[in-house]
Amino acid sequence: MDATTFINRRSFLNQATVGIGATALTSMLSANALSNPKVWPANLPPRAKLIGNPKAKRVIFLCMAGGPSHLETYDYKPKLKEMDGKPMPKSITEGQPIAQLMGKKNALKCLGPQHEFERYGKSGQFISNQFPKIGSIADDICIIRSMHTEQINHDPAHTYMNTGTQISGRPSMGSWTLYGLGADTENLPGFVVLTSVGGGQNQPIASRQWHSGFLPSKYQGVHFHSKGDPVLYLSNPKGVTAKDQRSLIDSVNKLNLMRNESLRDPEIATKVSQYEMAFRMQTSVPELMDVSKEPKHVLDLYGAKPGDGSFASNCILARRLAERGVRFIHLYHRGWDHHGGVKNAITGVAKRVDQGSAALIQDLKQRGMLNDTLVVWGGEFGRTPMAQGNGRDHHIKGFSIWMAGGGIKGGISYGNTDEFGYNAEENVVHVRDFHATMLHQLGIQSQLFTQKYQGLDFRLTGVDKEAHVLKDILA
Amino acid sequence: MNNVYKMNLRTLLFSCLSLSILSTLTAKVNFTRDIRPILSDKCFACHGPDENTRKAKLRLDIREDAIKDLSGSRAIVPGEPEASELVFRLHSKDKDELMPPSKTGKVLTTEQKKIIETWINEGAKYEEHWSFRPIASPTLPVKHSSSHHVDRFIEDSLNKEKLTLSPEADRITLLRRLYFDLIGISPTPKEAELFLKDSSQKAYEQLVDRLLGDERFGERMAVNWLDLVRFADTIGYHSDNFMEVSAYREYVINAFNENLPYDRFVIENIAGDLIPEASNRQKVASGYNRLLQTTQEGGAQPDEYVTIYQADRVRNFGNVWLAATTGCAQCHDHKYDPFTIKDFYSLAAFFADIKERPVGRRTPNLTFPTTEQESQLKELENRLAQAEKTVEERKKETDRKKKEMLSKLHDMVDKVAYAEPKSDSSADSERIFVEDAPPSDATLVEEWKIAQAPDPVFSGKKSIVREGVGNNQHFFWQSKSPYEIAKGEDEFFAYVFLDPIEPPKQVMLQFNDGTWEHRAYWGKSLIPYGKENTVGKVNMGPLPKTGEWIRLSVSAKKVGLKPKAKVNGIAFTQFDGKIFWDKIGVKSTRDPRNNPAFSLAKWTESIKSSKNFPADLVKVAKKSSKDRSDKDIKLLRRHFLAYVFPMVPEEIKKFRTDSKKLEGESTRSAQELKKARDAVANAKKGFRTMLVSQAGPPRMVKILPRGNWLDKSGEEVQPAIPEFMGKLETGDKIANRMDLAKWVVSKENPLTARAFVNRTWKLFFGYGLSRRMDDLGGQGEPPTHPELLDHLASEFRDGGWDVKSLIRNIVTSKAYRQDSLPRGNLAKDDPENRYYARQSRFRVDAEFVRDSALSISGLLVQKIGGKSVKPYQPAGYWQHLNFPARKWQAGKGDELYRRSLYTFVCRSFPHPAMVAFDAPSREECAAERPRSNIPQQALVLLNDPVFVEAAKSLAERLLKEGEATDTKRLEKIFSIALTRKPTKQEQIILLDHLAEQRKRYKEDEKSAIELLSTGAKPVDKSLHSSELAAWTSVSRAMLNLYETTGRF
Repeated sequence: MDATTFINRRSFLNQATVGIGATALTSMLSANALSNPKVWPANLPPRAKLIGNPKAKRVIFLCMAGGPSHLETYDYKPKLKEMDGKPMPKSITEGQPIAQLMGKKNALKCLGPQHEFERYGKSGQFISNQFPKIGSIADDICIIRSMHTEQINHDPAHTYMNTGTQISGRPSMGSWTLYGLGADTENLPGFVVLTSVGGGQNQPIASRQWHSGFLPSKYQGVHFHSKGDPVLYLSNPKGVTAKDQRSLIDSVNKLNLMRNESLRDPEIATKVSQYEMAFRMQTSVPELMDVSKEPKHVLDLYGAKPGDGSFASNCILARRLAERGVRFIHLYHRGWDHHGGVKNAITGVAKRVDQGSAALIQDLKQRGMLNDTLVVWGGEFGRTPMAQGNGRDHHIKGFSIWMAGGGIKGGISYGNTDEFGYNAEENVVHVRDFHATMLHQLGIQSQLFTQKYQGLDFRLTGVDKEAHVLKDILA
Repeated sequence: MNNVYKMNLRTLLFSCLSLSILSTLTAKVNFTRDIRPILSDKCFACHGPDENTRKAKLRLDIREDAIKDLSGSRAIVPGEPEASELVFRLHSKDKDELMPPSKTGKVLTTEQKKIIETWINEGAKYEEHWSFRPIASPTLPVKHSSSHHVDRFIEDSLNKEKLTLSPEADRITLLRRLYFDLIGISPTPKEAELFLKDSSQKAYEQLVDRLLGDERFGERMAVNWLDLVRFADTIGYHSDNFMEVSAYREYVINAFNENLPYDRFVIENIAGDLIPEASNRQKVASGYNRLLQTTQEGGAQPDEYVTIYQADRVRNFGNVWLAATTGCAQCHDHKYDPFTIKDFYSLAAFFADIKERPVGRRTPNLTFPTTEQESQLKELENRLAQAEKTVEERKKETDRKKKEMLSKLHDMVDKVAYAEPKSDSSADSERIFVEDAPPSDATLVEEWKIAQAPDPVFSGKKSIVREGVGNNQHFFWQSKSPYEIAKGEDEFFAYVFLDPIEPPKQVMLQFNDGTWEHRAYWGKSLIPYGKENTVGKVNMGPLPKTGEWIRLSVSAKKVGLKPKAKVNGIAFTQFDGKIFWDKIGVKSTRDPRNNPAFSLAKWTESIKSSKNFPADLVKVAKKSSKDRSDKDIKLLRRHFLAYVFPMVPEEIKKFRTDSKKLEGESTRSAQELKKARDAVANAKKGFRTMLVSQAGPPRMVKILPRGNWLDKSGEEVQPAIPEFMGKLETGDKIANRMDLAKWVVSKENPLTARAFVNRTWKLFFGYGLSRRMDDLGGQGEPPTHPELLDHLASEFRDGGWDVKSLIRNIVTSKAYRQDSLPRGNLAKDDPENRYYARQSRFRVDAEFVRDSALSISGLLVQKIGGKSVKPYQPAGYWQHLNFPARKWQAGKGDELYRRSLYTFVCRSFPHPAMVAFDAPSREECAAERPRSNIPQQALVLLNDPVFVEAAKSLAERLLKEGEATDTKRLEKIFSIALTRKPTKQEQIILLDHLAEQRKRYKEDEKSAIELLSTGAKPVDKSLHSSELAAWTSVSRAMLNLYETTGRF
């Protein structure tokens, strides 16, 4: 290094300290503040209060897209078995919305459970015998059998489950969570979405499901791909090494800071820190995605082959993301839309998700992370007790999900549907109640967690209806 | 708590409070600015317009109700805060009495409480909500430093705050600001020079006019407009399939460019299809009503989606045109504004006439030409008319000639002595297909090039010549008079003259009797047709001698043509070289007594079932011979001798050639006409299509209680505007969309002009005069400068809704032209720049980030309109779309470098580079984009191939456009990207970077070549790869600077 550049660099460093100035410093401080979930970030309405002692620091949502049949998974209905092939009582279905069965309203017949159920664990929870591994964690999970949603088609139903409304353009629960709590990482996005490869007939899913809606874009979910660039635009251009990229970013940051001495624009200081974050992501994301370094017993636990993009592999990634401070991890597994051949289809999809789901719980548990990680397993709706050929149609009046960890009681069931598995009857859980409970475990009081948009105080749990925390399932 | 105690406490409380109020507040309380926002946000949810959720029968949004005695207490007692229940409740320590209740999470600050008390003390005066009041024409405030109307209002309020305008920004900043604001692209050095070198007084105004007249202005304005109307290329829900609406984008661009008055724009959008004799352009505008999200999902209930669509339309209608949140009244009366649930469904009823399938594919229902296509079509139609005329004239001429010839024919024919042939040996007969001209009754393929002396000719006056490289041929087929094989010995022949200098390597004859699998060839076997050693490829031996006419012949048997086979075509194929072809025919071995060409009787027999002869002739032929009259016999004989019998005098032969020529003429005419007609038809096939509004009988619309589509118990409604805003006078006629559109732009509507002006202001100051872009209603924000907003709105409305003039007015003000740097304490005193004591500064919108990079690099292809294009997008980004699964196919050539507003918008997966920079997904009305500053933006600018390619092209430009030293080149790159010179320090940083990269790429040329392979456009091979790569790196740095797309 010759004398001129030396002086230059030194004077640059001096300028840089002055140049970044108070704003950048503040933003760094607040980034640290964000990492402590007990401190409310500045961007929340001042009236919002954190409930003392939050149980969950993060959420892993295993989204079973397509609408899993509760009747072949978690909702054991012996009566329906008796009624197999017999007409569905009209008193139950009259005036109810149904999807593809609409034209056959007058000839609705019951379809008995296509798989046997067994009692699992000390708690003896009823679970379909197609999911023995999930059965093995029966004592860790809380099965909610009385879910109720309002949208009967896939796309709006996902939107409803994710944003609390059918209208597009509202923030998803991951964005809300990140908005409320920030992330514990400076190297990774705070809200990450993974989609698994394989799974048969795939209903489309759209990026609106992880969109930040009217919240600032930085709360958007970042979709990690299992093939190609894990994050869009993550790889350097061809012929550019990490060293080249570093050198380029250095030059850009220097020029930006230098210019900012006269422009004095806080956005420029922010931009400089975002380039640093981008560069860190360029190394941290590939490192994160490389599951091959996991010990063999862990890979075996999940039944994952590194790089296959399977649900099992994504479950390992979810754990790795959780370890690295990501706030909300949303896994999508498609292939649950069983209008026909529900029996074999369930067997098929169980092979793909049973082991990974259970392994994730076990793995988190053995690492002491299940206590503060809320895991949710469920789809956008359930399926009809009525037959659609040898399959089942979409159903919104009663379905099942489960939750584990993050201060939720294990080994219990909550709520019930009627003897046909049609209407949620006992302890009905609306989607917004589920949202309220999830936020509650994160330390957020849903009613007070709002953002003004189009003149209204928007909440994840909706503008005008009350949402209830499911107190009975809290540990 | 007993009442006496309560009263005492109140009095006590208020004697203290009143003192403090009087000492702290001097300015008079303004209801709109100070009070209504508090009441609306904290109270109206339970004490506002919505009757169903109203608590304690108390309503605070109407004064009469607020001061009413409700079982002994009055919420507001004007002039007496201490007697007002409202005030008491605000301060109550009792959890059950405190307002707002703690469970709402709403809390009033001490200042807010005080100001309410002061307001009550001053008499609790209400005002109608500011935006629902008629637009006023406020008097102009006194002049301060500027006489510009905008400045007089701005300076007036600054003055009250003891603030002043900032000095004018420097000229480079001004120039770049105007370019970004008015056309969305930074200026080129040439454009910059035009302004910077012009020191005249008028330079700035002229620049404004230049940019307002630039076609890029419309593109810039369209970007934000398309956000409002949620314009996209796909239907949105579920399978998210394509829909064709791109013409709407063009309409918007053109409307801004042509300065279409905004009132006409509104009418055309909402009801363009209902304009009498609507033009295509107006119909396209009505596509606005079709831009909403729709579904094709199997199992979706039509009734449900009808209600989803009507709600979407009412929401968007309110948002776009009125900046009103009408959508809130879908399930219940609006909680903050006077919109009722009935208003909501009455508005929905206006759109109930739009014909559409609730669930299913969106099929375009308008086909129309673009301007370019229209002139093209006109041209083609002219040509067709011309062709029709020529053909008509030609027909007259040939008819005349035919008549003349026919008149002589009878005499000639009648002189011929004819008798039926007597023996079978009299003569071999020949059928000639080609002599002097190609067959007139067959389809000709490839060029039939005619040659004549001095070129070789075998017989007659002409021959056919073909010259070509490799396998080439010409042929005729689909002949209307095929030759029927009589015996296997029938011999096909053709005379050939092989050019001695360029002889072919192979000659082939191919015969078609339904298939072409009958071939004979001479010479090498190079032509790929047929299978060797079959009748599909018969080797006839070596090539004939060159330089003389040789008769090539082959028997029917040899090439597999069986008796009765009908040969309708022959192909003349060669490999390389040059061949003259002449006299092509077949020598028939048929017994003349059985040969229709020689026997009148046989011929008569043969035409009985033919369709190729005149009807009267066929009729006669069908008679039994004894029934034919002399006249009949004469008719048959005449035709036979005139056209069929070969052994006739020369004069008849000549007649035959001549009439063949005439036939050729009419075939030519028919072909010309067909060509011209096809051209017209093809042009129409390429027309634009579009989803537009088409009115049908309106659906019945009912109020849906709680918005529930299954609940049919609600009242039926007719189209009507919100009741509190008036009533449409349509007499006995039920109001329709046209009435609605006209009301939107009528003087009675106070929202339309305010909403548009407010949004326009935002484009040029970064904030609206009322800061909630999507809501001018109660939950929005009262304007920072209500008089200025009304002044601009009234001028806009009364001055012919002139958009460009509104913009010109705003950008020529001193307020617009001032510096954006927060001087002194401004950053602290007015952090949100509510008084405009400086300009605002922000990063330009997503589209303009990419557009500017393209422009800087020189890659930008400037062209208005057209279908959506697909620039680069990461592979696999669409993998989760289904029904059908699909892949993004990047476009070619120009399509990669068009402005970003032409990029295909898939609602499920909008272009990720645009999303990173806050472009909305176009699912719902977006009146405002957030401006985020996130790492994904860095990744896009650093790694998205389009930005790397732009850097590469910029580097290429630098190296090719002279400026030999590094320093000079740096100056150049700064002037292109930033419109200024680099500082010394900037130079040092970049020269350092350049040196390092130069060294690195010199040592690793392979990496340089890899870097330069990014993007579709190849680089100039004459440039050194390492040098170009190093400069590409410098260019990347430039494109990544905040200043490059920062608007200051």
